[in-house]
Amino acid sequence: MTTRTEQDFLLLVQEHQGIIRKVCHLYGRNDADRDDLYQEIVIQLWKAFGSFRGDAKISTWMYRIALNTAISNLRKQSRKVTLSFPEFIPKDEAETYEEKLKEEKLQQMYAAIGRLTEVEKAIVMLYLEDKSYDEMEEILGIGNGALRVKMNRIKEKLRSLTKAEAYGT
Amino acid sequence: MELDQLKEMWGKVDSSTQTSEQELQAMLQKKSKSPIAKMKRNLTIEMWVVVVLYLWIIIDYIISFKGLILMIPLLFFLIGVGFIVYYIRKRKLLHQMECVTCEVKSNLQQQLQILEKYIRFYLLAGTALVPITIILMCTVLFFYAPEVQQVRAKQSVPYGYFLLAIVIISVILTVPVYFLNKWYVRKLYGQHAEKLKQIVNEMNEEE
Repeated sequence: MTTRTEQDFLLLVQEHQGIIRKVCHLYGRNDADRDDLYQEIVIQLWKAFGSFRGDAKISTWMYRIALNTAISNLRKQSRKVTLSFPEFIPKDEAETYEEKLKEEKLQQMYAAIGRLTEVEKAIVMLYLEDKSYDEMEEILGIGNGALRVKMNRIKEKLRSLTKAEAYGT
Repeated sequence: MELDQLKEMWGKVDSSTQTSEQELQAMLQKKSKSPIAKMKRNLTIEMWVVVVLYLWIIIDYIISFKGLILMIPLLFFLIGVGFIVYYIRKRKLLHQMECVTCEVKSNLQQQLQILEKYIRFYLLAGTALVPITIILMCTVLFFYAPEVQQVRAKQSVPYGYFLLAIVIISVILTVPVYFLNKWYVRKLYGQHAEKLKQIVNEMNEEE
C-alpha cells in the first residue's frame, strides 16, 4: 500500500532516473557498487522529499542530492576502477573505419573520465548534461569563474589521459 | 573535441534501462548505508548497551548489598548520566553533519567542520572520563569503604596524601588512554576526514 506522497515520489524518480543512473555510472566502481549507490541516492531523495518546497528546480535538487551522496560516501578506492562504457553509448553500430575510430576514441575518453577526481567528475557530468555555468554553480557551490578555469584544466587533463589510454599506459 | 562528442551521446541515457516502481518501493524499505547513517546506528547501539549495563550494575548492587553504601550505585548512576549527555551531544553533531540538499561544496565543508568537532569531542570526552571516574571512585573508597575506614580509624591519613594519590593515579592512567583514544579516533575517522579535506581544498582552488 503506497501513500500519495510515496506515489508522487516514485513517479518523480522514475521520470528523472536518468540523473541517478548517470551519477552511478561515473562514481560506481563496478556493477554491485553502482546498484548500492543507486539505492543510497533513492533513500536520500526519499528522506529529503518531504522538505522539498520547489525553491530550486527539481533537477537541481536531484543533482545536489545525487552528487552529495556519491561524493560524501567516499568508499575506499579499490586499485582497479572499472568504469564501464555505458549501455546507452552504441558499441557495435560503427561500420566504417572512421566510425570505429570515433567509437574507440569515445571509449578512451570515457575511461579517462573514470580517472578524474570526484570533483572533476561532477563538473564533467554537469558539462555533459549541458548545464550552464550558473546552474553548475547552483548545484556545486563553486563560483562561475573558478568553474570555467577548472573546466579548461579538466579538458587538458582529459586530453593527456586519453593519449595515455591510447598508448595503454 | 571528444568530450563534446560524448556530450551528444550522453543525452540519450534517459531511454536506457528503467528501474520499476516495485524495485524503487523495495529500496525505500531499506536502511541507508551512508557513513553518517552507520555512525548514528552504532551510536544508538552503544548507548543502549551502556544504559542496560549501568542499570543492571546499579540494580544488582542494590539487591546484592541490600542498600549498603548507596554512594556506589549513585556513582554509577552519575557516570551513566554522563554517558547519556555524551551520546546526546554526539548524536546532535551527527545530525548537523549532513545536508544533502545543500550545494555540494557547502555540504562537504559542513561535514568536515562538524566531523573535526566530533573527533575533538570524542577524544576529549573519552580521555576526561578516566580522571573523572578515578576521582569519584577514590572519593567513595576513601570515605565509605569499610577497609579504608578501619585503617583511617587506627591512624590518621592526611587529605594531602589522598589528593596526591588521586593525581598520580589519574596521570598514570589518563596519559596512555589519551594516546590510545587518539590512535583509535584516527583509525575510525582519520581517513574519512583526510579525504573530505582533500575534496574541500580542491573545490576551493581558484576561488
